[in-house]
Amino acid sequence: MTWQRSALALLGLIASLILTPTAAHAGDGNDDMAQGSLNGDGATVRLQRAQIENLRHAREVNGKASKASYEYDTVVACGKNHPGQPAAEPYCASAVKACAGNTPEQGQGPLAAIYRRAVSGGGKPQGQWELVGNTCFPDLAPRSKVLSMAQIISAFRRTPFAKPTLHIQPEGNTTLVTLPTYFQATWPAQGFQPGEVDTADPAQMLGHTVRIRPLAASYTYTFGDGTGLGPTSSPGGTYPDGDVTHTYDRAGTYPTRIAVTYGGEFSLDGGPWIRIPATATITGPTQPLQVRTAHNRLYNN
Amino acid sequence: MGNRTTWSWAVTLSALVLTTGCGGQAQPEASASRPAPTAGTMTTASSPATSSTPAIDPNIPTAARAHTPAGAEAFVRYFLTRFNAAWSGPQAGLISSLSDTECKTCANWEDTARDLSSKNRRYSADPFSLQFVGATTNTLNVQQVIARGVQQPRHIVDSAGHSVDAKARKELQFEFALTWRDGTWWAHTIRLVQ
Repeated sequence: MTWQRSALALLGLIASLILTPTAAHAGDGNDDMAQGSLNGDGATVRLQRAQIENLRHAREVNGKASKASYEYDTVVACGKNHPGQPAAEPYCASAVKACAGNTPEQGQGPLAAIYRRAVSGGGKPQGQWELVGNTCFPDLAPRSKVLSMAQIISAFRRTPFAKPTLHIQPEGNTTLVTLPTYFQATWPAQGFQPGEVDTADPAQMLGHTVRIRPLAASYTYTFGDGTGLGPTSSPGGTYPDGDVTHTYDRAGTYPTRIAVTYGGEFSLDGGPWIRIPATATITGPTQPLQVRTAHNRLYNN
Repeated sequence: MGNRTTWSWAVTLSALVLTTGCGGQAQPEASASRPAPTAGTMTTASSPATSSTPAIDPNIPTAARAHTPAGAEAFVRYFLTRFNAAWSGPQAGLISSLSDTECKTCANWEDTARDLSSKNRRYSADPFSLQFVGATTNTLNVQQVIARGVQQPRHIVDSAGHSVDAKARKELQFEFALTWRDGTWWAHTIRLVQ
């Protein structure tokens, strides 16, 4: 039997050499990260509006009639939240970021997990909670009490932002041709400027306390002579350290102004500050700037 | 998947040939378990072709060993660091030492590392840049973690540094499902979010 074993072992070795992984690997696309995932565990698709609508009408996500009655619970997809329990984390950055950048049609989040469990005719639970799926439409889920990101973004955009104005040097909104002129963003007392905290109306926030803190994402300066600066992160400054300056070539009156693009953060029910995936641009009033020509004269004392 | 299928065929054929020669019964087909079979494991019928319990990576950071959502996030960060090393090294075994045997995506990515290595090729730099990672749902001892980032535009280069292939930039989001076993996290599935 020894020669047979040797011969068969050799055959096996030859077979495994012929069927090398190198030869088989070409063309399967697995050297592309996404394709390797699709060919492996596949893709996960968030529950879309129509699928959630099916759940609301006592159907399965695919539209077929449900064979049992279910109760639902929807929790924001944070690591510490579980169905049937009060939310340990009303919101978390990961759930917000998971849907960030989506259009309203794609659902703006936060990412939420929809669970269900079977109930008897009397409403008594019959089993364990099971995950139906994750969605970026948390507010559409059956009996959801999750505050949607769209509602928070809407509240953010309703914030009475402070309208920025320009502080210009030389003082008095008058400067000279060829003289560097300094520009600085300033804030009026009215409205919420970067860093100040506004509280949204709880009646529009499902009873939650939502605090909104605007942040200055960028500034855009218009010098009125066809030129400008920005968007830039600089709020400008005064002589001699300000880094937003402009030199006019000709005399005249120029309509200057500044626009600020606000980003923001929110805090839900005293929770941590989380970045809002939206911006709002507020343009300040036009401020005429007189640019004059300096003439040299000799005076005889 | 083609790679793993081929290995299974090779292992199965070898095992059948050897066991038939011994007059014994055919062994069950080798599974897709990692670590992947090597020439040494295929030439003897007495040693198992595969192991269902991959060795634990001893370099897993302490933060990634915490059985908490934060620990799961740290594990995914570490996993993707090792993924980058596996493809740009290249180095086989880095991905499989963090993966459950059921993780098909892990198997494909591990196969690619092995394939690059066997051809003396590599990614010219880290293929993936992580932008954020966040723990999401936790059900029945499975912790889901979202990882969002960019598959960078990279060349696959040969040993002389010449480009043999190029990959385009893609923004990607993955959903990791992690399981907790033997005091550490394991990648159970990795799905592309679409």
